[in-house]
Amino acid sequence: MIEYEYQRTGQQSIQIQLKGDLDIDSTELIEDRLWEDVDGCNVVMLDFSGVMFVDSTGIGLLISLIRKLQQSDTAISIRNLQPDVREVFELLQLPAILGQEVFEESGM
Amino acid sequence: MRPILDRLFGPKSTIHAHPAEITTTDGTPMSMSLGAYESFSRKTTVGWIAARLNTRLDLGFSEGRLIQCAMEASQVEAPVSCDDRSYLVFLADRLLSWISADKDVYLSVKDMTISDPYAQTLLEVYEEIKVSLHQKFAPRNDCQDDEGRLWEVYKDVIYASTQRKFLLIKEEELERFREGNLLCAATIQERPDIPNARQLSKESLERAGIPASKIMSYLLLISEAVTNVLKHAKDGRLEIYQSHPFVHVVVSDSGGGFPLKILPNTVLISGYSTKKSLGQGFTLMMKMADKLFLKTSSTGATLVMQFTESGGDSDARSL
Repeated sequence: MIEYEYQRTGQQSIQIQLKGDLDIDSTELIEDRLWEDVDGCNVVMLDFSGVMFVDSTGIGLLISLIRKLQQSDTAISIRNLQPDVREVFELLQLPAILGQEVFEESGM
Repeated sequence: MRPILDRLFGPKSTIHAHPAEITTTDGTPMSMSLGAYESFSRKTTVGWIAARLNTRLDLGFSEGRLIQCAMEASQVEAPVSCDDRSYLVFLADRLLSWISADKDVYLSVKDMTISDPYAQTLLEVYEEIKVSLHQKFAPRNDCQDDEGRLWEVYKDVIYASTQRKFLLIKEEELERFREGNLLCAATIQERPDIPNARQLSKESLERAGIPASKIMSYLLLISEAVTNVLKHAKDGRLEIYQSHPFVHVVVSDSGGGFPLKILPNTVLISGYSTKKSLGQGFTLMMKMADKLFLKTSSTGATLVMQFTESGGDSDARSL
């Protein structure tokens, strides 16, 4: 299960701290609640320091969220990846799918 | 070196008059039961193969003695020394067992790491006699219907094209993966069961002494497999068994199984999915598990992920 907290860092920018495991059990939270909170922002920063586990379903959720945001020209950055999570991101070639710019500050 | 007589006639203990099956005590021919006849026929064939090996290897044992040696061996085990008549009988017996079990002889020879020139000669002899041996000793395919034959073709082709990593299996073959210590079991019915199953697996694997560096990849694959249950079936079950040197993660469901037609795509094409999803679950399993076994039928599918405990540092990125 995943949880998150957020701070608005400007009128249209938001920082999200994710905490927990990103998997199929996070579906509603990501697709509904998180989407509502970030919709309309043009700068979104996702802090992954509290995410200890991610699987391909969780990555699928992340990809749909980020694709939707990218359609409205939102700048997205993913930061502070734990080593295990980064490894899964690399295995599934996420930088190639989402664009290297998303990961510029992630340490990947 | 053994004394010359031993080398010619074998140790005393193996020399008897005649095998009991073919004569009675007073020496008159006895009518054999079918089972005894089959056993006799098999042993004669082992001796005959051993004699061929003998000729090819130019070892000079007497053919009669080789056949006798084969007749007397009740349970043929690997002999200690290789310059021995009984080693030929052992190899011949193995060859016939592989054929009877419908195993691939080339791969079996390779797996057994028989030293040359024995391995090469065994394969040469196999080439010469395989047609007649297969006719006589290979199992009759009990699924002569089209579906059974098709299943066999899919099994063989997928196994070969995955470099022997993914094997379709029958229901009855599942038993051997449920041997050993049951580390944990969990029912998979709804989404919260997925993180719960991971947590339970993590604790059990730690208790079982699996190194922390490896547990992460186990958990990822367990998560993929149990998530598939929710995506493709209604409910299922996770079991983890430790059976040195393997850990077997067995995930069964009561869904409709995988249609044969889509299996090659599921197994071989990265990103292939019949559902709206990333379709990377199988890709990760193929990259990170040591072997995968799948039983699938209309009553459900069971996937077995095999991990080798001492399988080195399996850095998935290098695969």
